[in-house]
Amino acid sequence: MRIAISGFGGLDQPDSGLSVARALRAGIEGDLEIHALGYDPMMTSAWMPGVADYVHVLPRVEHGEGRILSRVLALHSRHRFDMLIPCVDEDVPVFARLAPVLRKAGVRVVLPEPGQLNRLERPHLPDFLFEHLIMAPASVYVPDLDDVRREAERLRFPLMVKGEVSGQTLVRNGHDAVLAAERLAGSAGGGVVLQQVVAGEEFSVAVVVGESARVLGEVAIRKLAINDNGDGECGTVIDDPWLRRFVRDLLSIVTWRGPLELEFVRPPGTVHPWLRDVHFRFPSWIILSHWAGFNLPALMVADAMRVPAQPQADKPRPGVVFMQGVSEAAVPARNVSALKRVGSAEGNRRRSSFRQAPENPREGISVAVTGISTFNMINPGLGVARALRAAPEIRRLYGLNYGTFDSGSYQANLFDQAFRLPISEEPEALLMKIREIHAEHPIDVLIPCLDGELPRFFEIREALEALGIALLLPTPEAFDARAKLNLFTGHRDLGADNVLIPRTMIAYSTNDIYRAISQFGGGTVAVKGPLFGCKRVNSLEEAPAAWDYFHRQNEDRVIVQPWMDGEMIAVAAVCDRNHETLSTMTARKLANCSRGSTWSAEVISAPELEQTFARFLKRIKWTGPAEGEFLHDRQNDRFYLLEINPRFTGWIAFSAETGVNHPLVAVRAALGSRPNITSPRHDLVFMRSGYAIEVDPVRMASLSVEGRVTNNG
Amino acid sequence: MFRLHPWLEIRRDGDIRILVDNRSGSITSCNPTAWAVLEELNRGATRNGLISRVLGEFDVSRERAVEDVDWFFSHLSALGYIEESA
Repeated sequence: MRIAISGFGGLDQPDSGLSVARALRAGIEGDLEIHALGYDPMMTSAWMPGVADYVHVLPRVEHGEGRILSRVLALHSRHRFDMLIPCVDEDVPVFARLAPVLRKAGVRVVLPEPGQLNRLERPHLPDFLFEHLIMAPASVYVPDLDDVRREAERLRFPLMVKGEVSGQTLVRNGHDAVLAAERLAGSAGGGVVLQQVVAGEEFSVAVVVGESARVLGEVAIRKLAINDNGDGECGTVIDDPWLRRFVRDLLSIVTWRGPLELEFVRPPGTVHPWLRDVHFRFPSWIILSHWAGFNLPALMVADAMRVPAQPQADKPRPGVVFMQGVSEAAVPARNVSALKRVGSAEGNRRRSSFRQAPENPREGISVAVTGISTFNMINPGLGVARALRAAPEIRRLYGLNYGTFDSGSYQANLFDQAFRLPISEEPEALLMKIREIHAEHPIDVLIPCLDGELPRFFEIREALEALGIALLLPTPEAFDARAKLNLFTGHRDLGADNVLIPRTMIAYSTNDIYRAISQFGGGTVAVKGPLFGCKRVNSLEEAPAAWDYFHRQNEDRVIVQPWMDGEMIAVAAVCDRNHETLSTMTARKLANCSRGSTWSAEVISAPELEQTFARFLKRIKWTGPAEGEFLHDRQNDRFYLLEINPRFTGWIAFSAETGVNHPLVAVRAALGSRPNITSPRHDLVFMRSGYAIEVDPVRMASLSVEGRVTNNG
Repeated sequence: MFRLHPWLEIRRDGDIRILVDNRSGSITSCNPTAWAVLEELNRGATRNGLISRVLGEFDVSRERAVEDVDWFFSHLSALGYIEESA
C-alpha cells in the first residue's frame, strides 16, 4: 500500500503528518510505503528514521492549486499512490477541491465537500456555533485589519488572534493584536479571528468519518499540561459521554468525511465544555489512538481501501497518556540536497536514535545530566544523553529533572532513571538531593545543562567533588565574563579582523532605546534581554512594545544592537581545566523554531572562526562546554558574536553522529583524561522533530510523588 | 453494598498507587490507607467491610479507623465516585 501524507513541518508546533505516519506504521499489517509531502525541504519530521520511504516537495499553496495538482499527479504516475492524507490546515481545503480529479486518477482522498469545510472554517465558525446554539468563547471575524485594534479592545484582553486557516497568537494589548494580525494574515490579505481567552480544563477530540458517512470512531483526550504557547504537552484518553454525544450531534448537522479535530475548554463552574476551535485533519497527538487500541488513521485507511480492520477494543482505552518529546536524527546530506535539487528524495533509513533501551555494560561510567525537558524549550540535556548513549563506556545515565512533565524522564532510550531536583534557589537543598541520589546510585560525572542552575552548581562544586562526583565547570568569573551584558560591553576585540562584537548600547528605558536607534542611524535594531529573547524593532513606534515585553519579565535593562541579517553559525566547544579547547565543531543553522532553538543544522568547516573562539574562551579562562552563536555576514565575510551559551548546545547529539562526541569529550575531561579527536563528518544534516511518547501514568505518579522514575533496571 | 463507578480505575506498581478517573482524565496518587479502601470499593464493600480492612491492615484504634473511613467515604461520595448496589 502506498500512502502520501502531508504535514511534516511545524517545528515546535508540529504538524500531524509524523503522528499519522507512525500510527499507520504501527497499525497496518503488510507492506506500507509512506511518501511524505511538504512545501519545504526542511520538513524535519519527515526525516525521522523509518518514517517516510520517500520525501517530496510540492509547490506552495500560493503558487496555485493547478501546480499542486500537476505535481501530485506526476508523483502518482511514478509511485501509484493508493491514498493521500492531507495533515496541514492550509492544504486540506486545497485537496478537498482537488479531490474529484485525484479520485478519478485512482488516489483515494477522504475529505468532505468544500462547501461543508466552508461552514466550519474559522471566519464562519462563530456564526455556525451561534446558529446551532453551541457554547463557545466569544469570537469575532475581522476581515479588515484596520478594525483589529477596535474589535480587540471591545472583546478585552487577553485574547487570541487567529489566522483564517491556521496559527494563533496570545496578545495582551491592542498594539500586539495588530502586529499579530498582520503576521497571521500574511501577504494573502485575509482577515483574522479574535477570540476571548477562556481559562479552564482543555479537551480535544479526534474523530474520523468514512467515505460512506459512517463514523469510524473518535478518541477524546483531556490535556494534562499546557505550555506557555497554549499547546498541550501531555494528555490522557478519556471516556466522556457528553463529548461523545456532542460529536455525534455535530456530525448530524454537517455532512462530513475524513478526520476532524475539535478543541474544547471547560471554564470553572460550567458543566459542559465550550467548543473553541475546529481542525479538518488529525491532531498531532493521534499516535495516542494506536496506544489506546483504537488507531483512527489505520481505521480510515482500511475503510477507504475496503479492507477489513478491527480496532483492538470496542472503544479507546482510557487512561493512556502521551507526552510531547523530541526526536533527533542525522540525515545523509545527499538526500536533503536531492530533495532541494529535484524535489524528491529517499527518506532517512539510518538507524533510529529512538532505539530501544540499550544493554547497559557492567563496567563503565555513570553520568547524571540535568536539563531534560521539552516543555517550553528543548533542553540540551536530552542531546547530551543521546550522544552519551552512543558511547560504549557509559554504563548508566541518570536524568535530573525539575518537574513531572520533563519528558526526558520517561525516555528509556535516554535515561535509566530520572530524579527530581528541588526548585529552590538554595544550593544546600540541591546538594542534599544530589547526595541522596549519589548514595543510592553512584554518579561519576555530573553535567549541568541549564544556564540558570549553573550559579548554584558553582556553590556546591567542592562538596560534590568531595563526594567523588566530577564536574567540568567554569569559574563564576568566567561565567560572568561571557554574560551578554559583560560580553558586549567588556570586550571589544576578539583577536581577528573578521570576527567582531556588534555595536551595543544598554537601555534602561524606552527613551534609551530611542537614543540607540538614533545613534545607530535610525534603522532597524535588535532589542535583547540580558538572558533571553530578542525583539526586532523596525521604527520608533515599536520601541515601547519591546521595552514593555522585557520589563514585564522584570528586566530593568535591555541590550540594543543594530539589526543584522545573515546566516546563523554556531561553534560548539569543550575546554579542559587548563582552558584549552579539546574539541570544536561548527554548524550552520538551517531551521530555527519560534523560540530560537535549532531544529536543523549542517556541519561546516570554519577553522579560523573556531580558533578565534578558542582563543577567546582561553582569555576568559573558560572550563567545560560552551557554544558561541555568530551571525555571518556573507557579503563581507564577517562573523558577529551574538552570545556565548555556558553549556552544551541543544543540537549536541549531532556531534556524536558526526564522529566527535562532545559530551563524551567532556565526560573524559571531567575525569582527567584527554581524548583523541578526529575531524567531524561533513556529509550529514541534523534534523529535530516533535515526537509524542507514551507514558505510563503510574510512572508519572512515581515522579510526582516519590521524585523518581525507573526506566531500565 | 458500595462500589466505585466503572469509569474509575485503580492501578499499582510497587509503592505507587493511583486512582484514574477515565471520564475526567484526572490521576490521583493514593496513600496505603486510601488504597486499601479503594481496593475494597473496587470489589464492592459495605461500610463495615471497609473498616475491617483498615483495622486488619493498619495498627490503628477502631475509633480512628471509623473516622478515617467515614471521612474518605464522604470525600469519594462528594466527588461522585461511588455507586450503591444491591
